[in-house]
Amino acid sequence: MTEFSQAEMERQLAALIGPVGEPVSMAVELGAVRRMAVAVDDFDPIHYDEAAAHKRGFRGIVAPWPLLWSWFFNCTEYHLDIEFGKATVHGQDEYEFREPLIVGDVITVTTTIMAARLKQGRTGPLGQVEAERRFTNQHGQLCAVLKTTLFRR
Amino acid sequence: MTTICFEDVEVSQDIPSLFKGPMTTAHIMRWSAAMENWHPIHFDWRFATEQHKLPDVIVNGSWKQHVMLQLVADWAGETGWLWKIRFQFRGMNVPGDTLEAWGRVVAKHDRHPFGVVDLQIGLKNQKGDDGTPGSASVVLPKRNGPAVPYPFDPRVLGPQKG
Amino acid sequence: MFKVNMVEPPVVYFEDLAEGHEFPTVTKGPMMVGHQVRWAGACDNYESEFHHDEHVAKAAGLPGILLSGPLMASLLLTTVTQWLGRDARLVRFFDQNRGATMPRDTALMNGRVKRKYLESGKAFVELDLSITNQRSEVTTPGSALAEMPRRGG
Repeated sequence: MTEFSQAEMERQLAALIGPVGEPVSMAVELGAVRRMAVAVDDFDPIHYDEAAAHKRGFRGIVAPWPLLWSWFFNCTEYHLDIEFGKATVHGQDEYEFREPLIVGDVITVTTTIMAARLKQGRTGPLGQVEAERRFTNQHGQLCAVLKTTLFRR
Repeated sequence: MTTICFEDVEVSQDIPSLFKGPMTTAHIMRWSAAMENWHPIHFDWRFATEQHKLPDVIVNGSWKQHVMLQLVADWAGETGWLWKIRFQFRGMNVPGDTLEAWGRVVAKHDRHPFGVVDLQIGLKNQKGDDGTPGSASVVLPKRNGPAVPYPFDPRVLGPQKG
Repeated sequence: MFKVNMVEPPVVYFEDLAEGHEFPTVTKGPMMVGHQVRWAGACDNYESEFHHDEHVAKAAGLPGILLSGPLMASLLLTTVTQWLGRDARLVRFFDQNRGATMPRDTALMNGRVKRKYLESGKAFVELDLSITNQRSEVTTPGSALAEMPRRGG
């Protein structure tokens, strides 16, 4: 593995900061909602049954929040373009919830690298990269913000 | 896609093979998830090898059927109709296998105004193990004959000759 | 279609939750590769092979398959929505992917009310969360903020 100087690693990290790619849209599908709800053991009827969702005051069948990961993986660039280190580790997530995702909605996600810094980890230099993804529906409402911290070592 | 007429086909002719693989666990998982078939012999290596004494996690039979459907439907083309298909699961396939779906014409039946072609089909791995033998029947138009109707109804076939 | 036994969450009020209240621990698992496959299917993402391929995981120097961090956090999130009931609105959720969960591990979802407060006429609860395994190791510390309905409100 190539050895990089501290300054070079810091330069690679700093270059990441800013918007990543174009906004990408994907619809909230009924089957996807059901599959995610089953995958995360969420058996609340609002994720399966339109009448139950209406009764609870929602416009339609509600996606469980973890479905945000479907946009994360399929609509955004989540690989970090870093030369140093050998592994990227998913460190932590911070979610902010505003408007529910409803079946039939079209959700647009934008990705921005908010911060990237070099730290000293237990096993050597550690790059810490904070990415923010904002999820907006077709009405222009902000549905959720997902901040993910990745570690490069 | 090809357009094949009944007259173009000869008994003992091979149809173009379809190649898949090398198979990975991701292929198997994607299929299991799409089918919502959660049997662990398809993805839990310890379960498959220790509890079921299998050589590895195994490729879904339904996926293999689909590949053979694709083989024959591709050959029949837009103007032919894959009418019948049958399979037997005799051998397992595992990650790392490269698979060749193959077919051979074994009989022709003139069912004027259409033709029916019987095929022998199989799915062979890189070691030559033909684990999924089967057969298929395809309805083809005749040259200058009427198009095979869609939806297909077997009553449009003329009587079997000879 | 996969049959789902839907369970309507209970109604929980702000007044029902005292600071220091411990929610009943929810046990998930033993976690199996099937959970990971369902999760990968729900995210339509099969990229990180060490999450599902024993051979790839071992070749990468891991003891075996590791279940996805976001999957484990999502199970914790679902548990929170069940604890807080049908009329709570989850505002924020945080998780840290600290320790690995491997197939056949048990995951215990733990939570307590850290703080409750009123702000601009709204009622909020802050929760301290964690996932622990069968060896009592904390694999996923976390926290959440939710707006709660008020009794008679």
